[in-house]
Amino acid sequence: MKQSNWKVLLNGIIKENPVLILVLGTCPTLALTSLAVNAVGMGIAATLVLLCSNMAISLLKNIIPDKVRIPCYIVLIAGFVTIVGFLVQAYAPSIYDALGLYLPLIVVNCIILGRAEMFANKNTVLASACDAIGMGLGFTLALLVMGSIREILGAGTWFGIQIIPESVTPMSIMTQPPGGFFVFGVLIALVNFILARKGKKRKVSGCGGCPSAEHCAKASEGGC
Amino acid sequence: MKLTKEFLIPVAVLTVICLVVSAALAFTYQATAPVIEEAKNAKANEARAVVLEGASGFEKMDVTMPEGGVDCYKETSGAGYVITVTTNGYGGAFNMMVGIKADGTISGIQMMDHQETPGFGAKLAEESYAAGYRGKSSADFSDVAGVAGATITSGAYKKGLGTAFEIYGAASGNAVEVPASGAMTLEDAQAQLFPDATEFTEFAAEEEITGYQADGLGYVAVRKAVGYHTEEPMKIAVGLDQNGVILGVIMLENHETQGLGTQVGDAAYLDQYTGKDSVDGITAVAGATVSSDGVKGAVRRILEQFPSFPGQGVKLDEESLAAILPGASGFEEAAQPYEGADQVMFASVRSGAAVSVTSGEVQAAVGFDQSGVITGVTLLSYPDAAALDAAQEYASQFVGQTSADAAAASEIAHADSIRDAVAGAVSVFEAAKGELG
Repeated sequence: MKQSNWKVLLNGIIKENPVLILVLGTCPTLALTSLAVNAVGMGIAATLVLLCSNMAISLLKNIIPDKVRIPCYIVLIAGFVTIVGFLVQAYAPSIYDALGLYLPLIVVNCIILGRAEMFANKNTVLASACDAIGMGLGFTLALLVMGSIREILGAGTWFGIQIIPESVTPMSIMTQPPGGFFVFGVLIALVNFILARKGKKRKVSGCGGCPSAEHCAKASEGGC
Repeated sequence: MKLTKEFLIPVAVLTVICLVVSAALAFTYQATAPVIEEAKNAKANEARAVVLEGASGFEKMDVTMPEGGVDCYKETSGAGYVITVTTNGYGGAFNMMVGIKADGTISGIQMMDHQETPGFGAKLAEESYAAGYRGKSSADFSDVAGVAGATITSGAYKKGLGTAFEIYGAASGNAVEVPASGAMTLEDAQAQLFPDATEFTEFAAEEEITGYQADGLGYVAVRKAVGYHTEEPMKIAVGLDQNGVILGVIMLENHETQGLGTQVGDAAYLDQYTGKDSVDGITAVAGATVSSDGVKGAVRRILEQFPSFPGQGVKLDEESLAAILPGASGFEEAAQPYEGADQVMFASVRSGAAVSVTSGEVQAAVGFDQSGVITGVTLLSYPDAAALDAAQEYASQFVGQTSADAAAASEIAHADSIRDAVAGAVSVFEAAKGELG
């Protein structure tokens, strides 16, 4: 069923948040959320790439033959990531240094390829663009929340500003990998709890339980 | 038709997409490259400003780089220069950014991209270490101590500074003082060790030692000392008295690492040897272990060869003394060395003198009583063991004489040497008899 474009956008923020519901793109989520500013930087870079790739793939959806669609998507996504990389390096060098290796790794970020497969190659350019913005925003917001929690608890600051008085020793484990996993798990649990209370009961298994069932090509075939 | 649809179209589409994406990439690269370059420069200039105080802007200088030089930037308001050099440390090559003020003194040093050992070589990268060089010029930066246990890194650091000063000299046109290496000529060294000696007679010795007899007062032994720079060994002169006690060690040539190995040429290290007759208890220079060991090894070899120096030979022992001065006892060495004699000893109450002299391949010990009459002659060293008895008998003819003039002709080998030795002993006695009291 077709949704209005506005609904498509909102979808990505809560109902189908790529990080907390779809559990995609976990690698940069865990790696770049030790500081809130890094989290936002990654989120914006990924959103840009997502927007460009979704629109391009949607434009070309009738031209790209099914057999070579994955290689074509990858070439397009890699191209966009590299271009975004050049732009960040030129105009925001400190963010570039902070993102480091994770900027080129956006190419293999599951969110991007996932949305291309699940949405962009079946919908209009405008709808794809809205989906990209929604997913990107959801990604950025999730990262921002995680980053803020980890930075405040683990370093006492938020975007560099001292929040917790310096006399209190921060829980530095929060800025390290174990802390990342803790916060991630807790957030997912929290979001599931909120959605359950709102009545959006998730069915136990099968395509009915998967939030992407509406868009997935395999749903009509009965499974992944 | 199937073929076209199945293979050609997909391939064509993929190819076109690749080409288009590549074109877009090339375009973006072209557009952003200057901006990226600009940002990199700004960052590098920021690093330079840390090293040179009071800097506002930099411009790159075009100077021919010696080995190890990377780049040279001149500060636009005349505050000085920032020079980047590369040098080989323990964990590989690392860069150093050296800020040199307009007056030729060091303003700051930054060690970059290094892989030195934490706690050792990495200590040199700390601000506290670099601060020790502030204000030093090319002449005295080598005085700053290295870090104990980080010999190679310390050497590389100083070498880098040397290169930086070299480039500074070329870029600014200012003369760069090179610190004195503490080297001395052989003549000066000989004069310093034996100020009273007028003539130095050269002789050859084992173990690559060149020796000089200092007028009978002692010896100057010259030898190479292999330190850190094995292809350019040091050269030392060791002054020894007649008893093998070191009067002094002087550095003649030193090509060791500036500021580190060169310290083994300083008095602080070399004075340790004076008055010793062995190399026990010599402390090496901190951070210059290899250079110190090189000098120590050379001195040790010289001391080992000392007994074979001319004029040393076999020492007078109880047996030989009893043979030439029967009944005398309480022997003491003469207070001063006598020219021509290997050894001079006086019996207690000065009732007689024993003189050993080397002539040719023969070393003879001659005993004199108070009036200069020969009381005994014994051969301490004679080259032909089989003919020793006959030679000894020949030597005994001098007993009771006051000179060697009445020597009988003989066909014994080395007879002239025996005679010359006895004659030499007589003249030494003439000179030494004043000590008889």
